[in-house]
Amino acid sequence: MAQIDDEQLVAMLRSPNERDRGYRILLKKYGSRLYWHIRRIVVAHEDAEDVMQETAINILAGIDKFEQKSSLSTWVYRIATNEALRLLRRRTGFFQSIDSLGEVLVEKLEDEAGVDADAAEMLFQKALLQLPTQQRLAFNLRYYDEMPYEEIAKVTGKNVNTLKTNYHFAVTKIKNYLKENSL
Amino acid sequence: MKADFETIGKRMPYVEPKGYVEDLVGRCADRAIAKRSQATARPFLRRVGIAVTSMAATLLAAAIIFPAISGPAGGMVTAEAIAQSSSLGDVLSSMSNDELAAIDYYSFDDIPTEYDETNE
Repeated sequence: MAQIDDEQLVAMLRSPNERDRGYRILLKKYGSRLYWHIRRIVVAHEDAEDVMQETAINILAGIDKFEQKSSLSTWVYRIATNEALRLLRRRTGFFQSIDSLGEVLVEKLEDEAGVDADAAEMLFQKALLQLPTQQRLAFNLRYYDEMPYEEIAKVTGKNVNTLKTNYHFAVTKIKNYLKENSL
Repeated sequence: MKADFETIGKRMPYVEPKGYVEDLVGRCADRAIAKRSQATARPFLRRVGIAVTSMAATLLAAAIIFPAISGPAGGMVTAEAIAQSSSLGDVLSSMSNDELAAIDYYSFDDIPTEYDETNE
């Protein structure tokens, strides 16, 4: 099958006869990236699966409202990010911030990783989970997904300068954490 | 052990088997499409449900307002019809005049009030 670009995909998604096919192609194209993006936010596979399902439903339900103000990939990342953050919010108390879930997420990381996990990789992930959510999001999207700041701004709804600051602080904190906790 | 960005790269401490995530995404897509199909079919089923319920309610209201339609052959249930029914007729013939008067089966004018010695 020839590679279908986003423009063609949008046209397929808008056509009643080709919508389902277009939707499957869309998820095939971005699904794995979305899954790992979600997984890095919620950590546990089971949670990532739930969020992935909700994301898939919301993408399909929202296709008619997609106005192409952003790219298709930005739009699906935004839905996935919102769903992942929504799940974290459900895990917190009424007056609690999702930033306070760091320790809970570290526990999930240890459960998921297993005993033979690489120590350096574990340490790196633990460093990431100490970060406030906005810094972690900015770092993940920039470092793992290699998104330009302009696109991250559309995904997170933050401005570019704030994101650059978030990323800078995240990198500094991770380096310090690794320095302090290296064996 | 010295851990830094360069040595760790983008590797994660947890992995999923090859093809697992792709399958998961495929399943999510299938479920999303199925869910949307159900949601599309629901308004039609709801309209059918409302129509059936309305018809049943109309019939019930008509039966209450016009009780004659619930009688045999579309007419009122008469005392004669009850008397002709063998089982009901037996019950009625075994009842005393007072009991019959009590259920308003006869008017009091129909019930002989004078003692008839010839029946003894």
